[in-house]
Amino acid sequence: MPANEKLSQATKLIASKQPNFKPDIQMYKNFTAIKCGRQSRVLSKFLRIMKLTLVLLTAAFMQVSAATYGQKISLTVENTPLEKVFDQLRQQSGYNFLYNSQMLERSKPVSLSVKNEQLSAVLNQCFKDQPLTFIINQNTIVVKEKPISQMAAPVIIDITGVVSDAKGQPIPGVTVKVNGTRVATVTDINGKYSIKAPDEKSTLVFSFIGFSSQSVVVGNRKSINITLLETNSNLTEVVVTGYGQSVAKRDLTGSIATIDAKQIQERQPVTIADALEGQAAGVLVANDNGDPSGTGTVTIRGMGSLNSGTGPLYVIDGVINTDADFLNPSDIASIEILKDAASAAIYGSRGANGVIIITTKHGQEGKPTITGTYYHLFGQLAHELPSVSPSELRKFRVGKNTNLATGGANTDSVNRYLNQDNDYQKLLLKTAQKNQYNLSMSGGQKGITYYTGLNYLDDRSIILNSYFKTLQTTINVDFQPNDKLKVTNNLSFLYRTGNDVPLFATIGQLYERNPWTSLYTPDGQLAGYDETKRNPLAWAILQTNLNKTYLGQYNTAVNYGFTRDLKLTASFNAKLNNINTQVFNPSSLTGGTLNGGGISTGYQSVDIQFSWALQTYLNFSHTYGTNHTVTATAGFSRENFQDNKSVLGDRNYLTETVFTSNIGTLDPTTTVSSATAHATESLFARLGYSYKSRYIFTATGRRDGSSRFGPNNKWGDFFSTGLAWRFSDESFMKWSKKYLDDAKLRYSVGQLGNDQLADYAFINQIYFGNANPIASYNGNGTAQMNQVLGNPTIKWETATTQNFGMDLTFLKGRLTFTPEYYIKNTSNLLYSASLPEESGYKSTAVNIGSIHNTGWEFTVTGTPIASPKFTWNVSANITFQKPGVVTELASGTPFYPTGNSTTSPYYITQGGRIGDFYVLKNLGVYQYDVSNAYAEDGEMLSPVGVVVNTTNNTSTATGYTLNGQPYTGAIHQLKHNGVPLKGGSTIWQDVNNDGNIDGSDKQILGNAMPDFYWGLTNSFSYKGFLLTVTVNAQVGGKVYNELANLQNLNSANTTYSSPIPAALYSAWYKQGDIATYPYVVNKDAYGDISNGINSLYLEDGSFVRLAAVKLTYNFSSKLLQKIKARSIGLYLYGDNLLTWTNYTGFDPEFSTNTNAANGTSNSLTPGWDTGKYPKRREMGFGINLNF
Amino acid sequence: MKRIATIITSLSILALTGGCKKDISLLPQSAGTVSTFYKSGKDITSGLAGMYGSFLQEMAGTGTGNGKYFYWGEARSDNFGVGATTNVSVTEMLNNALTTNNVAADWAGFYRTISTANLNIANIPNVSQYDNSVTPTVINNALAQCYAMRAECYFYIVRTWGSAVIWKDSYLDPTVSAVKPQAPPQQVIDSVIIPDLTKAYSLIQKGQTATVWYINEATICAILADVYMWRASAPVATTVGGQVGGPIGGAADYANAITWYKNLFLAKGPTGVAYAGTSGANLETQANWKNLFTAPATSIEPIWSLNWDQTVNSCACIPVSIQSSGNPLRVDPAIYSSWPKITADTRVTKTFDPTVVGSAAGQYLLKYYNVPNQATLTSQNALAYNVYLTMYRLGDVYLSYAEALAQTNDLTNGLKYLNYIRVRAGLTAYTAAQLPTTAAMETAILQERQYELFGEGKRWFDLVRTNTVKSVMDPVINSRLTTTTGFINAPNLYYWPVSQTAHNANGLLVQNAGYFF
Repeated sequence: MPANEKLSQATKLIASKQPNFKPDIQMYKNFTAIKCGRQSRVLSKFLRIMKLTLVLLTAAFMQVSAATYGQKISLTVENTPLEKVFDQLRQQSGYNFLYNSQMLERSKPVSLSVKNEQLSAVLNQCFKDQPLTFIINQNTIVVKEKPISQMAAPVIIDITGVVSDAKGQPIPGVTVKVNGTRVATVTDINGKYSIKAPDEKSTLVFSFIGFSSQSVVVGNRKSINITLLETNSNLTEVVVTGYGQSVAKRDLTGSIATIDAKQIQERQPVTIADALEGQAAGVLVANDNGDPSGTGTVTIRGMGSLNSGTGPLYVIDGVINTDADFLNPSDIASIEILKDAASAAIYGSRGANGVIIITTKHGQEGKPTITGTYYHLFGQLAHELPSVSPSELRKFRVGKNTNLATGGANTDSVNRYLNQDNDYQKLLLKTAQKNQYNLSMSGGQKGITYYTGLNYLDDRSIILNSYFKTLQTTINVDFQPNDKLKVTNNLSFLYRTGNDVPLFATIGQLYERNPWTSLYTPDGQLAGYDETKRNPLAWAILQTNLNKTYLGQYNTAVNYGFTRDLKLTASFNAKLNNINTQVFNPSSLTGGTLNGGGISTGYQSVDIQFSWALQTYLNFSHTYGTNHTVTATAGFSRENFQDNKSVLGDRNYLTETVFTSNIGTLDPTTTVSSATAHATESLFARLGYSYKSRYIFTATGRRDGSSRFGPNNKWGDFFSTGLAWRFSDESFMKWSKKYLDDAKLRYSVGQLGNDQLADYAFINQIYFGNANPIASYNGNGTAQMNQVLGNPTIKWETATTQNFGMDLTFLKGRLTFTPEYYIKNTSNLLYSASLPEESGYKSTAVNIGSIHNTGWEFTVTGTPIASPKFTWNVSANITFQKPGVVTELASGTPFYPTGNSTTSPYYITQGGRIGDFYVLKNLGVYQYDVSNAYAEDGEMLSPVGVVVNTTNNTSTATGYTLNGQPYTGAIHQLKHNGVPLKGGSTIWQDVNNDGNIDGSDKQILGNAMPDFYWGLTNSFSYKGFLLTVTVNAQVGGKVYNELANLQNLNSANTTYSSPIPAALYSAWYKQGDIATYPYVVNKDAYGDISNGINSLYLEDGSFVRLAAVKLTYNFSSKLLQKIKARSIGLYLYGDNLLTWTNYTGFDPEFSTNTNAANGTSNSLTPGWDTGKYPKRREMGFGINLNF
Repeated sequence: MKRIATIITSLSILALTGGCKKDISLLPQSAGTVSTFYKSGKDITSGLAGMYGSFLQEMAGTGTGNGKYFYWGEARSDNFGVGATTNVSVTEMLNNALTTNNVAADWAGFYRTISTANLNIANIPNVSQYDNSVTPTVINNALAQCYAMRAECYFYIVRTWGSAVIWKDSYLDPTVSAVKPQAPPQQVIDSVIIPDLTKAYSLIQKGQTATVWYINEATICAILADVYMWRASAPVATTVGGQVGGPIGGAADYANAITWYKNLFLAKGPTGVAYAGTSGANLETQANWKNLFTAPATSIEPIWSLNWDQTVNSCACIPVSIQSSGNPLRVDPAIYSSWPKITADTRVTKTFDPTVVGSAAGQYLLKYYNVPNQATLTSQNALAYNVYLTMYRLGDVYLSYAEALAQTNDLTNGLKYLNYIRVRAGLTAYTAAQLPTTAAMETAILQERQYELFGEGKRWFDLVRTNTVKSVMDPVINSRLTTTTGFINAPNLYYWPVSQTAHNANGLLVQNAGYFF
């Protein structure tokens, strides 16, 4: 039967039963009510509905209104699981059951036999002796755990009342609790409740699934009737806003994106960047999933800074961190990304690039929960590059270069050593194996809860000898002796070890080394260098670059509630990070020859970072009357960071198996130690006011001091405010209530500071010894002024963000839509201004210039299908972001973030955009010597009567035409550095038409920032199966393929390096060739490659990626009961499965390292691909156990 | 409970108030500040070491072959050609196609050195307030070196770029603009270089045994004489960035040079013996000629050499000997084949290994290494050699002195000093009949300087000073490149271009004629 026919039949069926339904809204019913025993049809219809238009889909969200009571039930079951009974009841009654499958784990099988009984009576029988109870709510039967027995409490006031919904219908099953106590009850079938409140100041909290909670102060009333408003689960979420405060998501005034533990679990992340990727609008993530030690980069709302870091601030359980690399993502309960100023303002001092708040998991009272997970992933190179074969390369060198006779190309055919055929990618890369073991236990009893997690990750990545192992533990213990006092403790430890393979000497050699040269010396050792090229295998296997990190963190916080409304928190945190590196280059690698023969070199470094933070703050929250809620926070914090580093350099190791410094000769040139520190101090306050959650206002003020600024400029003041208006609560919006549950407009504006520049940039420093390029002269240690002049006038960089947002909730929370627009202006940019060299300095830190960023962000979440058996959730976000515009620059002086006018593709100018590629336009290759001919206005002429002299590879012409007409004027030739270009030279666009190609002919030919990027997560659950599919994409950004560019630059016409394979076949070599790549013999003399500024290597970096797919099967409760497990899930997982892109390098997505501490400006050079660790495609399986 | 509340509250209040009052100022932990430095004799020593280190960094590099001694003094001349591992910058130098981004077009290192000298000059006199053991002599000797070093840097700038931005004070306040225009070459020579050297000479303690690694009494005389020699004959631009015109000084400056050479002869050398300048016996012997380069502190002839300690400063890699993979320069094939034909010249085999044929021919300049031939100097073991670059030595002075004498028509004495060098090399002395005119002697001296001072950073400046660039270099460059014609713009391209990097930060800089930013 065709699917649509079935569909219409089913529609009719229901339409006949319930004639008052409109046909278009019955489709939803179709999929929710009719399902048991018809799986295949449902699935086929599901596939069908995927194709339906948005209009239909929107209609489908609409909930069917309640059916009438009084269905008659006939049922005979024997020892049947409760869930099965529900299925039968659902079929007979048309009622839906709403329950949590965990609840049913402890339910008992049911045996009963009834005929034509009332539904409620049958239910009463089913629930008899069960640890569960039920409430019939409209056409849904809500299954609940039996209420906690009431505790004895001082009985002062007996309160009764009725809880009803907006239409006046009573709501059964609403939990009513006296806030801050354990006194609680639930409403009965008529929505009535009665509770004993301790005093008049008590607050009653009414909560129920699908409705927003309400709090009411008892006062002198004895009867309190409450109307609960329906909402959806998203809006009842609580969002952490920092410093001990949290707010219902629906009451936010700022822009905060939330990622919960479930989303994290589905993504199977190894790093925080993985967990964030594609999950939130405005958050651009570049992960490095090939590199086992890669951490990825996270940029929130564009690059708003020049030389100072662009990475966000991480607040982990209230503690400020510059990264979150040490956290195991599976210990995270939620991640909140504070994108706008008003939200991040409370972390003003370093929130200019956004704040990411991470809350880790804590224990719950009750029986211990033990969770164990294991997975194994296989990985392989995601995108293999074409490789060069020996015969191709020989042909290129001999056949295509007339002046070439020897040099690798003419090899002795019986010489084994020079007749190999190495595919270095195949030899160097292998299948990666990743194992992760995770065990956590949580639980607690009255007053004390704990969570402890243990994680072990063993990642052997795709490059030989490249691996990382991480062991993480965390313990959270919360102690609450009474209602007023709570002490939380967190202790985390991390041990990480791994080998960082040098990318330049491995991946970088793919085309550098001739493919015909043996990897082994005649005696069977791995060759070191050959023909001055490194052997990638030898470098991967023999070089040691071992990292060992020991990180311990301790955090304790004391919360004391003076009253119910006023709470004091004091917390102290200490973190010790000990990073050890052992580098060793054996003599077989250092000699520069086949057998090495140099001296072994190496070093060991120890970097000890100790930081501590102290915070004290007061939180106040009170609802005056029923409508006026006031919240306030005020506090103080101080943070200190100390970094001591020492490096012991060694050479001439006596043995190559032991690396301690006594084995070699201490090398004073590399032996150094250094120390640095910084501190910040802050006072802050936040005030919030809400009238009926309809008009919401927040304001934040903060005063920050930083040791990085001079005595007069240490302190900066930052203010922000946010407003929100829930216009859906206004009477004029009543008409929309049917579709639009909640609608809120919000606006915020605020300032944030940034002090991310090198420590001590405010003072003139004299460097000693090997802090200088020349450590000593004639035995005397040198003292030299730091080349960076201290500037006592530098002050806080300030980012001012305006955020316009709207939160829309449709169809009882099944569809939410959040559009946002922001304007972010960063002023007083901290940047390293070049000083005139004649002053003797290179640069000084200054506050200069502004960057202007704007962007649109849209987030949609929806549940197109929700039924107990089958649900489909969609979460999608898209961000349109313009590259940051530099609106003001130091007296208008442009600068090159790397190199100079003829080497840097980036040029920061006033009015320019961050990430603009400023390159020479490559228009092809001159076909003949005489093709380099132009009219005065720069128009290219066509040679006529070309005669080629093949002996010396030159050509002459008898004349020229211009646009088909004979040309008789003067002939102008293009020159590169004064040398006239010839046949086989690259044709450059002479922008200023001065006849000379140089730095002034560079033009903007693209930007590294994508025009837009999006993420889409779909999850489907059907019975025990859960399928999650995450797709993300970036569209429109450019990537400069520097790896290919360098390969072509380094390629030689004689021997040694090969160009990229494409150039073997499309390079010019004789007069008349129509080519893409220039003549290899002349490329250097004529500047034909123009490394780094050649538009030929500027590629489209757009991609769409099937980032992750996870299919989980959760075992049925029956089996679980047998082995006393709460849940068991088996899953298949795939990561980076497919990428659609035209980029010719390994991958268009890679992290741009930002190094805030030393002021390097890589954030200004996005999209610069120098050959990163290649990404892998991963597939594997895993198991989750929960007891 | 109440007690806990009280404790927490009071602790918090303490933290709040205490924290606010506490200053969060932090000072550098692994560096000093200007206000804490220059307090003792040791600080003078390390301040001077910093100044020499900065100069060394510019000349010899930081252990990776990035020193520019050979690029400024040799690479544009006929001494060196393209090496095995060349790069764009070197190709530009060899082909007279310099651009503003050439690695050696940047003068930053000289100004960094000038800045260290300026800081020393401003602060060293104050040290005696803090350290009684620092005598005025110590201070004056230190100041003399700083003035002379500053002059030496400006002298390099004037010879290489012509115009210079004059900085005589240390720059410490970034709120004051550091953008300054250039001054024309003559102004730099007259208002900075000569006064600084004269002041240095007046400050330096006379008659002391010289330490060859430092600027000493003889060095100051040698630089000053060299400056006069330059001013006497080098074609110089009269305006900033303008066309190069004629020399400024003329005959009077040859006389000035002679005066200072005579002052030099009064000073004592590294072994405590006065340079004297009376005969060939004041020079190192023919047999030990190489000691000048490998052990300058033990020879009577050296005046100022740059120290190197490979254990601290890493490889003394120079572009004509050792690079980790190939050298950018090699001995030019023409001189590599012509000079060894003068078989009597004992300097040839001490300078390079003429026996090597094929791609490695002329790869290594052996002068600075105590090895007999190229085979013994592989790149591996050469990493552990020290290279002591020669700045001034008596042999150089003899030839310059001869030139000054010849230019002042004292051909007899000029011939004498020229022959001291020739005879020491194993060659027969010229007769007066062979060099009857000033011009003939000038040519002979220039040739002798090329051989004697090969690889000592002099050849290019000699060619410019004697206005022989075009005649010497046009054939060489035309043989390297078929598409250009040597110094077609001579003499304008004698100067280097002002670097793009310098121009980016200082918009007032004017480019030299023949180049564009």
